[in-house]
Amino acid sequence: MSFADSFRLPAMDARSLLDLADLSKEEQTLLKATYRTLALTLAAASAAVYLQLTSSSFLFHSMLPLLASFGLIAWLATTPPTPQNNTKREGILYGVRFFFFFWRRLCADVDRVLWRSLALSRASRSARS
Amino acid sequence: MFYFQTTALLQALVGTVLIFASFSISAIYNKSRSYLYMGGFLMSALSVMFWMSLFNLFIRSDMLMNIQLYGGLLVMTGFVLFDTQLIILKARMGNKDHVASALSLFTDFISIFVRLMIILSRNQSNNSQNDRRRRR
Repeated sequence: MSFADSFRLPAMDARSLLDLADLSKEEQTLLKATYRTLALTLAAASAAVYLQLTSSSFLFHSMLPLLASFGLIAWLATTPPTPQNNTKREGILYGVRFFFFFWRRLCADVDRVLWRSLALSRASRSARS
Repeated sequence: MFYFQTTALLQALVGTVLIFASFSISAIYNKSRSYLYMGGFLMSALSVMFWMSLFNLFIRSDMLMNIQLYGGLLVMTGFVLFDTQLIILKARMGNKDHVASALSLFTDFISIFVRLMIILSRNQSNNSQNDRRRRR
């Protein structure tokens, strides 16, 4: 092998990226279900945040969404993870995430941390609004 | 009301999706599952970060906040690698619980998103302040 050859990259087949042969059929279906659940959970959370940014309701300020999410968390924790229960638990998870992000205090807390880190004075804040 | 900067929101969302997807995919293609060995290091880093944030409540140091932001970003990207491989390992052991797996990945996603959001928003705010100063 010449000196120049040592700089050459080994031939790589792009199709090897689609090769998931080391994962069995069950593992692949579980990964698919995991990413699908992740995507839908994110959708539920962002839907809740969008709702409270665009509309106004007494529910945002009350403790009801938080209590609902705590109740759903308890339900999720007490439901055993059997294959028959998995669809139900998936639904409960969406509910937990929706109601937790529905609660306005959470957004307000993130907002406050953000502004503390920005270290903006009260004057510039009032000038903006 | 809320003072999020909307461009930062979009950038943070796209950035988080890109970071999350690439790290997760690389964890799936790593056939030796070597990222699992990062678990102990990541857990201790997370514990250090927790105590640091509690400490920072009282002293409000700017440097500790920066360490929280950038170090936390690093740790959470590590957790994406670790959690993805842990899910595959659990599946190999016969675990069929995709809800708990999705929940762990969701936690990583949100942690990365919040940190990226704060970093980007702060940088944009600093830039606009510098612009205003230059114009004067």
